[in-house]
Amino acid sequence: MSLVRVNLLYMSIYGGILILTVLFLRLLLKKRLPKRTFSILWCMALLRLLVPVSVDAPFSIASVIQERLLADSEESQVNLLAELFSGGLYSGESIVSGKNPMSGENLVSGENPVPGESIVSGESPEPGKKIMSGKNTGSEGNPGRRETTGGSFPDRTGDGIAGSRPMESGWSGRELFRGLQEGDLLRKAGMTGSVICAAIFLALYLYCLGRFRTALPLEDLFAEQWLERNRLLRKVSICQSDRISSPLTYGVVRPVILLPKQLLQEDRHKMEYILQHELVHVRRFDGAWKLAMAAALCLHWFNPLVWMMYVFMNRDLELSCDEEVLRIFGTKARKGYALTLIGMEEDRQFSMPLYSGFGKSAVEERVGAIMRYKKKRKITIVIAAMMVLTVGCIFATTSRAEADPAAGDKDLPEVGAYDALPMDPPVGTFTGIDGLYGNTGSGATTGMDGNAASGAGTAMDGSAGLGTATGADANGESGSAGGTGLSAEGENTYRLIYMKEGMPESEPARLMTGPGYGILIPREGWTAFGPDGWMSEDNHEVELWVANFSAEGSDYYGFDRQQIAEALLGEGYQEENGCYWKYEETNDRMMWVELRLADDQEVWGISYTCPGEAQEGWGVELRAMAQTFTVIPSGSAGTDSLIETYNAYYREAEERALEAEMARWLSSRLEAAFVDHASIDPYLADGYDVDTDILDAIREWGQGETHVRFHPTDGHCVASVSVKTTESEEDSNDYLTVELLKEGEDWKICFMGIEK
Amino acid sequence: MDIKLFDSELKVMGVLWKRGDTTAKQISDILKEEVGWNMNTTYTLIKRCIGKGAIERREPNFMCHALIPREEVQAAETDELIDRIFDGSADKLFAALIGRKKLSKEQIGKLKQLVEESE
Repeated sequence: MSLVRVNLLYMSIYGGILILTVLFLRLLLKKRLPKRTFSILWCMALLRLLVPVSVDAPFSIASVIQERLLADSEESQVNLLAELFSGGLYSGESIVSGKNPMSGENLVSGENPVPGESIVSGESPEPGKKIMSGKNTGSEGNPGRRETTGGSFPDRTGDGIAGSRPMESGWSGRELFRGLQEGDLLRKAGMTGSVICAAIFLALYLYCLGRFRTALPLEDLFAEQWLERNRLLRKVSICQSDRISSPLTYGVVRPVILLPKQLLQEDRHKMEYILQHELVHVRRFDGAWKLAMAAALCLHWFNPLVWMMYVFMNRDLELSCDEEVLRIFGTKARKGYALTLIGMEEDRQFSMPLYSGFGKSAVEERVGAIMRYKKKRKITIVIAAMMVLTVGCIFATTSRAEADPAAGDKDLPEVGAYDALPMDPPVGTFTGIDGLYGNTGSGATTGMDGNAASGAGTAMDGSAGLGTATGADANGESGSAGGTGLSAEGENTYRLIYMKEGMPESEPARLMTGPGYGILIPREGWTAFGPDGWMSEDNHEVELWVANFSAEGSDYYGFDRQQIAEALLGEGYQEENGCYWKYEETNDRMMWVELRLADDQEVWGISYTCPGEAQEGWGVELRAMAQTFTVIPSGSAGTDSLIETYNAYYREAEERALEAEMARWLSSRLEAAFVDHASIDPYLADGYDVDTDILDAIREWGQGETHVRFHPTDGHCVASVSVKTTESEEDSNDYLTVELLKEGEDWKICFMGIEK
Repeated sequence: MDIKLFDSELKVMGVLWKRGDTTAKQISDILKEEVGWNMNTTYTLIKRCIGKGAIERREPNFMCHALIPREEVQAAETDELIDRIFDGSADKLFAALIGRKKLSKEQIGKLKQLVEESE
């Protein structure tokens, strides 16, 4: 791999072409592809604009351009570039004026009477040297600026630098090139532009930073617990301020999520959406990308395409962040999330670029995208990934033709400066992002969150493994892949399975862990209302919370299980199958409390409540959630045992679900068969003919349900259906026993008989 | 008296109300411990309080003295200062640049309706 110096003009041209490509793709495919695709493409464009070195590839766009240049005469080279400039690519006069100064060398060499070397090699000895020093400052100063600068973004450049936009729009590119002989002046103008841009950014950035610094730490149990559950490698803190109107995040290394005070007072239950949104920004280093964007803008301030990138990349970062948040919360959260966003917009007072704000950029576009959000299909994601790769290969690379002359340049003193630059090949970076993207997009997991918490190095492998796995097994895997960071890793792979009106329900669920416990909370339709408590988004009177009754401060502190049970009975609860319940007539509320014993001494209470009239529906789901409550034993075995518990829970729950489904299927088949005997035929196993006497004998269904028991070992299952036959006594049931065998994909009846 | 203070400024005043006259250095130490502010942040806030007439600076040692009792302070509203600074050309230029203007009440209402309907 050869590294090559690319001057600012080339960076601007290639970057510009890439930006145009992305804009085009965005226009075409915005609604089809995951939004993440575009933010990755933007990141590529950004790197192209900022990183002066890149790897070579035979089929790069650069080589295409250069081949054309080499083939043509000097005159036509100028023409081509002139075309590039004055033609569709750069429509604005300002570009050219700025471009020349910064990267004068290239253009000067184009005019230089030494033909063969000319534009492609970039530097003919004499002018090259001189100009390179200028270029050096340009691109070297830049990384430094990236660190420190960053304030908001200078529209003022327009005013401030009006004087340095000397060209009239009527100029053809060709004339401009001629004009380049006065490149020195223009170069200075270009640098001045960059410096002014940077100064404005820096000033705004520092001003905002100063204000943010005065924020007060948020002392809020819910927020603390939330942070605890979503731990990253970087220490994230949450602060509140009465001087901002919408939430934002600043800082890359030690990110701070800043929440407006009024929001905390009004909308506590929206907090989880907001925190999650900000955390996604943090996790994706969006703050760093925004700083890079500012740097690119300062450097290429003369290129209107870069300004367009600034606008659209900002939007796409938000859109793809929204997308991720919805993937985590599920589609049911769309409405709540969209309303949260609109609420932000109502409160917002001014924009603060460079900070990843929650209520930012084209809100309408975002709300629309949120309401349209659907899980992307795998094929879409594959297409998106391929597109990113293709664009990456074409644009992120520099051609060999360009790379070669660089070798000859080694003796120039300036080269040293470039060698000192970080030589990370951009393509490598992209594949990294890409891999990450593929997993995220595949929809099956966000194991990444958990992995990120436990160790960045292995994060990718872990989630790659998870990408395809689903269901119960995925839990095991995600658990072991994630290691210690318990809270998040299994977060998106669990399912809550329970029976509702005889039908198995299966909902994607998150494993929430608090101090000493774990519980599955459905991902969609539930939100936290406080530490260790969750409520339904549809009905805020449906709540579930857990508490350690043996902890200091609890009403039952110092009680053992027996004493707590007595206390509950004293409060009007009734006991039923180990669950305590009571109905409060005054406010029409059903209350349940379940007790769990941990380490033989601590007593935990899982309480849930819903309106009395809704207990049929909600009660079942609440009970199912409560059943998943697990105490994490103290000590290092905690993690493993939690995972084991949940896997066992799964197997059992899935089996139950399967059995119920089978029972339902069987009932409907049999019911039909009583009316029309022949309708059972398709469901009979090979070589078994049902004795129609049996069907005739059945008068009606008996009391009691259909029970199905699987015998997975020998692949058959036995169902027992209680029925009334012509011979059965008035007050008793007979049992129809049905044995089923699996033939291929289907279960077939291989025996039926009536048992008295 | 009509002095409006932000939360962060109130935090500084809180130290003075609790402990009586205190040097700037001590305030900074206390707040560093309590809320993690660095010295510059605290000094900036103290200066702002002096500017608003809530604190008087007395020598020696930059001794800070609260000029107003807790009862007379009103919560400042967000965010006059910012408005003054950003409501110049920068903000407008920005809005145009980023392609986001403040939405009108009607627009917000429409958006809400859209969300409600599409569920």
